[in-house]
Amino acid sequence: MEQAETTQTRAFPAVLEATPPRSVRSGYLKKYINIVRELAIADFRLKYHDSALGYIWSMLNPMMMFAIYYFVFTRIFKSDIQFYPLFLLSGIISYTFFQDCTFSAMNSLGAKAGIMKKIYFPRSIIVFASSATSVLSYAINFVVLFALVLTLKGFSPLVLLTPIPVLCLIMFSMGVSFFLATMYAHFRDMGQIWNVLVIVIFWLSPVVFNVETLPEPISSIVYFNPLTRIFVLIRHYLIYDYFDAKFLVMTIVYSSAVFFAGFALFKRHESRLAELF
Amino acid sequence: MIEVENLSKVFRLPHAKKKTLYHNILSLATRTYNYEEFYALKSVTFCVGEGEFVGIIGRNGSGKSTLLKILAGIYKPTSGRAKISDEVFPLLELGVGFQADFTVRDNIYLYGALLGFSRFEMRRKLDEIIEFADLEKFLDAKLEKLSTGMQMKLGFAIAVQSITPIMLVDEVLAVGDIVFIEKCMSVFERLKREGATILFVSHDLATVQRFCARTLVFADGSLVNQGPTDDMVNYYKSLVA
Repeated sequence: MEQAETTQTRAFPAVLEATPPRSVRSGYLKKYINIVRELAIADFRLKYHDSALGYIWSMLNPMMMFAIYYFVFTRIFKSDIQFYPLFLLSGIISYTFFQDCTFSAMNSLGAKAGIMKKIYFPRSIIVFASSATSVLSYAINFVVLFALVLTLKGFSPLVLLTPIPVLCLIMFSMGVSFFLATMYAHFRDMGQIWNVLVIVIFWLSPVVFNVETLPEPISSIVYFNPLTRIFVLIRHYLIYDYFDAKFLVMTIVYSSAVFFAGFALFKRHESRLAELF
Repeated sequence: MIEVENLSKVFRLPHAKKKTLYHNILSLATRTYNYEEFYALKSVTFCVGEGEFVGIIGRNGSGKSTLLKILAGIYKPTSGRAKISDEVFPLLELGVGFQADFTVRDNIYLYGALLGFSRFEMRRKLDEIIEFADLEKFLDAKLEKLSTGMQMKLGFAIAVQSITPIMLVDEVLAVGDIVFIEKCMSVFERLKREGATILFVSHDLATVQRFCARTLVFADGSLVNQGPTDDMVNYYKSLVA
C-alpha cells in the first residue's frame, strides 16, 4: 500500500503536516490553551452542578475514607505518626487526585468523541482539559488542607516549597493519564483493569501508613512507586520541616520521565484516535 | 485550492467484537485475526479550484462524510494525498460540544472556543449571533429549553462567525424554518460572491443546483462521475432509480 501523505494549511494545523513556523505556532498555542480552559471550566461546572453543595458532595467520599482510616489507625493499630490527621489527610486528597485524574482522562476521549469527530484540534487537548478539571478540585482541597496545617501545626518557610512536589504529582498523574487514554482507545476493558490496579497502587503508596518505618524489602518495593516519593515530599515540606535536595531532584526526574513517556505514546497514536471511537 | 489524489480510506470491521485487551490476547493465543477491510474511499482523485463552489452528492454510506473528515484532518488517510492550499473550516455538524445544562450565552463561549475564538472575541460577536439566530429573549435561558430547530439555528449563527477561505459543509441546512433557511442561503450567497472555496455535501438536490456549478457523484466509496451540476443530478437520479 502507498505511503499516506497529507500536506495542509488550516485554521488548526493538520496532524500530518510539517511543523509550522514558530510565529504561526504561537498563534495556535493561544487557541489551544483557550480550548483547554473552556473545556475544563465546562467539565468542572458539570461535575459540581454549579453549586457549592456539589463540591461538598464530592468531598463525601474522601472524608469518609479519612474518618475510617483515622479510626482504624489510631484506635486499633495505635499508629504513632506525628500529626497523623494532617499526614492522613494530605495522603488521601493527593491520592484522590491521582485516581480522579487518571480515571477521568481515560474516559475523556470517549466522552468528547462527538467533538473529536467533528472538529480538528490536537487530541491531547482533551486529556489536558480533563486533567485541568481534576487539578481544580485538588487545588480547592489543598486550600482546605493548608488552612488545617496552619491551624494545627503553624507556619514554617518550607511550606512554600510544597508546590514543587504537587507539580510532580500532576505531571506523574498526567503521564499515566496519557498512557491510559491511549490504551482505552484500543482496549475497552482498560477501565476494569485500572479499577483493580488503583487498589494495588493505593496500598503501594504511603497514604495511611508511614513508609519510613516499614521493614526491608517492603519499604524498597513501596519506594519503587513514584507516588511514594511525591507523598513523602509533600509531607516533608507541609508537616515535618525536612529538606533533602537529592530526594527532591530524583523525584522531579522520575515524574517528568513518566509525563514525557505517556505524552509521547499518546502523540504517536493521536492521528488515529478519532476513528477508534 | 483542494487537490485530492488517489485518496483511499480503509476501515477494519472486526467480525467478533474485539475492542478489549482480553479479546486481543485471546486472538493472539489462537492466532485468529478476524476482520474485514472495508474501503470507505477507493482511490479518489479530483481537484477544486480557487473560488469554486462544488457539490457532492451520493447515497448514505457512499464516502462523502469520510472524505470531508479526511480533508478536515480528523481521519488519517490510508493511502494517497490530500492537499489544501489555505485555511480550512469544517462545518460538519452544528452545535458541536453544546451543553444542554448551560445557558445560551455560555454555550456561545464554549462553541466559540472550539472554533478558535477567545471569550473576548466572542463577546464582541455576541449581539450579531443572537440577532442572526433570533434568540434575543433566550440569551440566559438554559439550552435545553430551546427546541432542536432553535439549537441548530444558534449553532449555525456561531459557526458562520468562523469564515475561512475554504469551507467544508456537510448537510447542515436541513433544519430551521423557511425564514432561517433563507438567511443561511444568503450567507452562502455572500461567501460565493466573496470567492470562498466550498465543498458542499447535501441530499437536497435543489440547493446543490442553486449554488454549485460543478458536482461530484459518489457511490460505494468511489467518485463515479463529475461535471456540470444539472447533468450530474440527472445522472445521480438514474443511478439510484
